[in-house]
Amino acid sequence: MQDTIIKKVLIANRGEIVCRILRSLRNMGISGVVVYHPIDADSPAVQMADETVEIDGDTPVAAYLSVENIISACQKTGADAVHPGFGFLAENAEFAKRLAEEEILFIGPSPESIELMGDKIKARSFCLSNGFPLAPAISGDEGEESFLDQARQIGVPLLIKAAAGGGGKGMHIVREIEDLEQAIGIARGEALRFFGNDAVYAERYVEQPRHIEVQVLGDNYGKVIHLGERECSIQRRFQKIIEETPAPGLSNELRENICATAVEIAEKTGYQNAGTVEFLLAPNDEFYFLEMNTRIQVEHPVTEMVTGIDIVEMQIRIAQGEAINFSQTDVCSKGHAIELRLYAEDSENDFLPATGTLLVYDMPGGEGVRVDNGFREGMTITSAFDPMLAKLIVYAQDRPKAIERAIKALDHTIVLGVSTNIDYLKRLLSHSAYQAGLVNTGFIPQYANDLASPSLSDKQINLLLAAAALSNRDFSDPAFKLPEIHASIGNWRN
Amino acid sequence: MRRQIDLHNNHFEVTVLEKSGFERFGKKLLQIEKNAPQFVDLAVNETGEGTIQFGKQSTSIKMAVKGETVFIHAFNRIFSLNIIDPIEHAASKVGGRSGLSRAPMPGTVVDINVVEGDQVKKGEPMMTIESMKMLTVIKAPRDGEVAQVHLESGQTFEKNRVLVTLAEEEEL
Amino acid sequence: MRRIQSSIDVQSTEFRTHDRYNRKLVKKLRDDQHKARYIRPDRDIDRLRRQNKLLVRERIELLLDPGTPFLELSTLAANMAYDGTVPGAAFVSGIGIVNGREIMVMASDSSIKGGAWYPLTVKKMVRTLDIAIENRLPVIHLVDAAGAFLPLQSYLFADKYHAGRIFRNQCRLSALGIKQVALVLGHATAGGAYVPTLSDYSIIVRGTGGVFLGGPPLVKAATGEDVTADELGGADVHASISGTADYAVNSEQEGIALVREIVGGFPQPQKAAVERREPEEPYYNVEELYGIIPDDVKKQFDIREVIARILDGSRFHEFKPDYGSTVVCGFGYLYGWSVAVIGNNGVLFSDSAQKCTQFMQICNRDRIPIIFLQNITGFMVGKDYEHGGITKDGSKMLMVQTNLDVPKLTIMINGSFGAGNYAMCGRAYDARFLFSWPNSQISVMGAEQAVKTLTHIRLNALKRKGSSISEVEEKRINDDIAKDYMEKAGAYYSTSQMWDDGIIDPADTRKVLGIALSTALNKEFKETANGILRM
Repeated sequence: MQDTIIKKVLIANRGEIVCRILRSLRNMGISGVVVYHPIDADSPAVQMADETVEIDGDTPVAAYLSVENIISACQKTGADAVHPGFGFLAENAEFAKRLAEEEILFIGPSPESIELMGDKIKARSFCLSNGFPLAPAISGDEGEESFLDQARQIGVPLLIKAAAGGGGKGMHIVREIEDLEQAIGIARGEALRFFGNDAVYAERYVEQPRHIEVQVLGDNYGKVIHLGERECSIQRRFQKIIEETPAPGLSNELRENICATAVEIAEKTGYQNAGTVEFLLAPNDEFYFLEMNTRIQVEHPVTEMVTGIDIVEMQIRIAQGEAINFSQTDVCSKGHAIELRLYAEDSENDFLPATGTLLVYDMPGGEGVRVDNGFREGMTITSAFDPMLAKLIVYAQDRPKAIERAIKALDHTIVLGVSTNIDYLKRLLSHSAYQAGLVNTGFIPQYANDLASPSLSDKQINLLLAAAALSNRDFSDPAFKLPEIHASIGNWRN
Repeated sequence: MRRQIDLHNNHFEVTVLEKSGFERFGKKLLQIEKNAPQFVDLAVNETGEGTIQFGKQSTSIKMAVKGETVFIHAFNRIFSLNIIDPIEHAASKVGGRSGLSRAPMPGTVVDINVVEGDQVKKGEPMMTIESMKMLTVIKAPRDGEVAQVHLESGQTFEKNRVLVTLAEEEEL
Repeated sequence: MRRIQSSIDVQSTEFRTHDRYNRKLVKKLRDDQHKARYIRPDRDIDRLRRQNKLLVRERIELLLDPGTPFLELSTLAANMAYDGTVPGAAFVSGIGIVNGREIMVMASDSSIKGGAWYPLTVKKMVRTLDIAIENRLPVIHLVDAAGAFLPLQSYLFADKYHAGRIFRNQCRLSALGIKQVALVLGHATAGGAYVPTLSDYSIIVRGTGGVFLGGPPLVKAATGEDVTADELGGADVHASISGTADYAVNSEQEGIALVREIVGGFPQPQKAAVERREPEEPYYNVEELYGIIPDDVKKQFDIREVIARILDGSRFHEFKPDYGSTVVCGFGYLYGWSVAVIGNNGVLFSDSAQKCTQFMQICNRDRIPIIFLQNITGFMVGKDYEHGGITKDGSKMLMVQTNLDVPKLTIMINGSFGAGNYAMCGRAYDARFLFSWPNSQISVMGAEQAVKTLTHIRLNALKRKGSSISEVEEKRINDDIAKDYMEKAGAYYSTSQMWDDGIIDPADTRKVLGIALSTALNKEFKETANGILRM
């Protein structure tokens, strides 16, 4: 590999991804600058950095979203490149343009790629006009009659979605063609109420779809390769909580087909740097383009575990102009990796985010276990940011062994002081359907009863109550100690 | 010493009795609800690891305490128990006529629909809050008059914070 | 310390006869106490439930620490007054533990006449507050009273130790730094309004609690104003507007939890310095007392057998055993505290009076609290004894006993007649606590003698009027006088009149004295000057 041209990278992000990026920078001998809002001053990311710059904003999130903050931090420290991580400014084309103006390297794709794939409608029509597979859909542009006709042509089941919407709101599933007109009416009403725009479109609804995505890498010289697929179907609140590779139960042919399609899409957009193409896989093995993320993904570690390739390092090399000097056939995937996202949330209460202090924060270790962590014991979890605490990534020879290793790793993960999904993940991994690889995006609601917290035996309840009572200060405070005579007489009435 | 302890939203009355002097030097008896009291022993080291023994049963645990909340890792699961202050417990039991609306989760105030003095009906929306990009509407728990709105639009809060208080009702 | 060697034969007929007799008395005591405490007409209980009120003992059980004793005082007050319609004088007093602290509970029993104040209620309240003052006990008032019982107002209003003394005592408690917490769960009207207002912390329950100098009917009668109890002096009025109360709560349970929180913040008292050692249960079975105490007040028994079933390990160091043997003086331990016991083993003679006097001086100097076990028919009478100075020696004993600085606790275990009652620390002599056994008797002289004398007087009076009395009539007069005399000399009458702090089961004596002593030691004591001893 060539010597680095980039000498100093500023990471415009926070938490575990910063630690992750710093690790690769360290390996490459590049200096890492971390910007931080005071609320993150204690974090491992800030402690690990070579240099730090404090930033501020109306809210903590706003601080990290401020382009000006980042630019001035770069100028202050002389950083010659910025890694945006994921979220925040990672898919902000304006930001990428501004950096280019300041002659600071943006470690990611071109602003044009970001713009194209960032706009869902643009991305869809790009794929449509290039013949890439898409879930059949129609917009309501040509009048209600035409809309209804086309909808009937696509056939049920149909998903009516708000054009200006997202986040699962204003979506209706139509299973019987008779319900179509009424569903469209309701969807329009909701679209207007939530998003101020009653435009809707209809899409073929894939029952029990699987979410399969492909990691692609493109260099600045037109070469695009893929690093394999990832299965990301286990989701709650539209957020992934378990990801793995390879996707269970895919035929080699189907896998190659999907990956090749992803590469084609990336090539067609002239994609540079790391990116992920997401597909919906229907039970009949048809797959449709969903969207493309023009950044590194949270779940990139599973790909790294099975291919042995450091994706962040590849990003930096590509950004400074190095070519990808290996071919597609050189990329081989061995074994099985699973990533578990540890969240501060209450699995028994609709997965609502939880807050508290990390009184005990024991992470697992050992062979085949990797922890990408952004917290340490003693830190406070607030509602200012996304509640992800850490990622547990396990690797083993095959899927059953990986699942076993994952469960064991969770057994050794002890977090006290804030509710987490540790026990929930254990139950999920132990579920027969998961172990059989029967995953789809409806897994969690489908098996909600099975995955619910099991009840406690009386013996267990008693031991827990006893431990709680004896460790509580009211019960042990000598200030409330009974006088000796009264204690020895006990509960007596004359 | 007697307290109500909350485990998974179930309340248990727990009493610790001292049996001082004479035969049982300093040993404690623990009574759960009205069951027979048993001798109890908690032995943990400085990292919170150890054993809890209750009568003839025992198990290993790891625990940490913050204020009135006890976090315990036992039986390969994690639990949090709350020791309830007796006054708050007594106050909360005044049969569902409470006029306090508490935050179900941490978040930010997005929209406020009422002002002090407004008359509201049960179920009427009073405030909209946002947490992790989810909107939740806080509704009136009963008919009544808004006595106080405790936060302004844009303010953040933690779980259980009192958001709106309805005025005390007339003679019970 | 050596143990008392008991010589009781539990198999003897005498023991078994006494045992049966005393167990019967104790059973009657427990049944009567149970009735006085719990049996109420349904309609009274229903009324309280409709008003959303708990019964007084339900409140007390919620207030006290679990696993702790409650020593109730004078449960049977007024049992022979007001035709027995006001059990306990509609008031509950007792010593209990709240959040580890010894306190005195004073609670109106609103299930009886709405908790109205009868003359004996007032006497009980004054006595209870006196105990609180003498022993530095914080007081918790559970206020729920209808007001004074008007028909008997002349017996409870104007005199020095009538109702005014209640509030005077509260003011003294306050000045002495002894805390009072009041929870108003009903009405506190007229004078009663001062009970919570003079307390350091005053809590009113919304909806049922009310504090006002004049209630709604009085206000209506006086000024024509129409106002509800709540509007006049309810929880929110006093907690938010007038400042007469400090807290308003939504329920009795919340109020009681709040009282507990307040008391939990009180400092733990320092006990007076008295020698201590490791406690020890008595060696002998305390229930043997039932067989030891005779079924006739004139029968003798050895007081040491009683002492052996009260003190730690039944250990007792008897002082001057060979001199003045009709009184037993000695040292021992009670729940670990060093104590002295003075108990009668017959009539008081000069030598026994002198021994007591000397012994009490030692106890006072060496800070040893004294337990008096009264079983005394009186001082010896007769020429030889008068010439020997028995009156003088009795007066010395009385002088030293009265001026003792150490805490005194008295138990009436059998007869207590005449000056002997006084010398042995009777009610007038400021024992911190005085309890009676069910078999005990108390009067100015033994019944036999007294009845004879009274009958003689009555007959003479009738004869002077010219009536002639047949033998049968004589007997009837004698029997009537005897019945009346015996009734007024029994423990039940004594406790009804509040001449004692309650009748106790003899087998409970150790526990009762232990709690009483622990309470008494909350007050520091110092040696003060003694009076003149007529030598």
